[in-house]
Amino acid sequence: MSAYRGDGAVRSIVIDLDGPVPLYRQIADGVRALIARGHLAEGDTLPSVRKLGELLGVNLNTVAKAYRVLADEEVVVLRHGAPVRVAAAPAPSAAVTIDEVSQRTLHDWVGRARLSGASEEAVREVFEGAVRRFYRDDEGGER
Amino acid sequence: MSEWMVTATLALTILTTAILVEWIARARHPGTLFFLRLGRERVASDDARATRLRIGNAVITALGIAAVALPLGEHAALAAVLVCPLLQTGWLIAEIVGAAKSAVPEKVPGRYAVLLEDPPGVRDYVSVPLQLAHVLLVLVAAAVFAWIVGRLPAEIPAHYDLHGNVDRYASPHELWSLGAIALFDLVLLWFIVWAIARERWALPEHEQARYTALQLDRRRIMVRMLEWIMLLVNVAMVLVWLVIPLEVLLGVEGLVGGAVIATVILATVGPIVPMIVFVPRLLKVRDALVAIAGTEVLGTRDAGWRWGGLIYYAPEDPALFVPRKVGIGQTLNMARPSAWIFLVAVVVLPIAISLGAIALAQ
Repeated sequence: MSAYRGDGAVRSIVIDLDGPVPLYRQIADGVRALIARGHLAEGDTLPSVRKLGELLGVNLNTVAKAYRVLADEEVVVLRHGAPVRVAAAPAPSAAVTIDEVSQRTLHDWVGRARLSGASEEAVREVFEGAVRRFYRDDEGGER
Repeated sequence: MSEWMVTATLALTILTTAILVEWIARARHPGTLFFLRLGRERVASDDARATRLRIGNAVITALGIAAVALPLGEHAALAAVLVCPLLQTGWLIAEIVGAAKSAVPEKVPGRYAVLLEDPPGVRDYVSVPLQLAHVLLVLVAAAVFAWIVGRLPAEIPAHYDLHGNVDRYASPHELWSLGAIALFDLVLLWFIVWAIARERWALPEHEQARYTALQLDRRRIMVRMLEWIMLLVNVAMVLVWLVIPLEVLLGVEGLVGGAVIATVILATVGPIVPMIVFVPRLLKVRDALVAIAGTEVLGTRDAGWRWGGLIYYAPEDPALFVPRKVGIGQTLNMARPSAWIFLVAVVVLPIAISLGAIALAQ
């Protein structure tokens, strides 16, 4: 409620109905980003499937699918009849390496950017922006 | 009730609709026609449309009042009172549809933000004193009526003709129906407030705090306006409900006539006053919302808006109530079965009950 009174809403998900990314992935990405940026902590509850569907204006199955994706990634805990909870997220550590799938995703992205004619500076800017967003909460004061 | 009072009351009902239509036709809010946003500058053809409506409205009103005032008989007067408001509002709706179709369609962006927490609830919108006053009004009236009804004869005047002569007698308990209407109005008000509280909170990605404050304002103004309108309508309802049996109980002649006039004034002119007070404030908030997000209907599906934005039909949107794209207030997502149930309950059912009651009274 407090955020609706205008004193700094931070826990928001952006949805793009016209965008190319499937809605369930947008929702999963949004929740993941909130957790990664520390706006949702371990044990926090997420809205029910019905509630989030109404808030966002999307089909309940879409929300359920997003929550299943997040549960498969062990980002949230789904238990029948219980609220969806945020799972424990490990703190950044030098001992943790980036898995192969994530590396390939990044390589794919850089490759596509290169083929689209983007400059090296542009690619670096987007990459560093993403790092700043999740490791230093650069956009924290924006909303 | 004297002849001139009857004539004045009938003329007033025609005149009230005329005033409302004239007010809407004359509205000169920038970039709008009949309070609906054109998405372009207002041009000569828009002014012509408004002028046409004003002339039509004046002619219908003059004919209607003539039919009531001239000695053409009861049927002509009653027909005028029934037909004129229909013609006045029908013409207004036709011009609004035309204006909506001539407006530049505004593309509703599919991109918006949603806060992951419970939005404000009904209690954040209602005025406690107004709601308490309304509930007390209905309860006290019911208590007073219950006290009076036990002291009345088995049959009291139930219906008057246009000259104020009693043409039907019935059990005083029949008057509980007026209390039922007052209660229906109150419940309807609560339902609409609940619907406003349930409207989606879609926010732009920037200026979220200011947008949020404006949205709260918009919804509070709508609720306040409705609270006043319904309260005034119910004061009128309660007046008639209590005065009819009081006249019989006290044996005072002429109470009903005065009460009917007061009721007609309260129930027709009364609701216009809150509209004139609150609508300009709503328009100001709407302009500010549009300045931030480019639209007042952020969070709705662009493809769902049909008929120049008059109808919303979006099967993929779970919302039942959405902000109105054309005009102010809310509209229903007609793709939801509950929207049709709501329409039947709120529009068709009361009309059917009224017609049934009239048929029974004949």
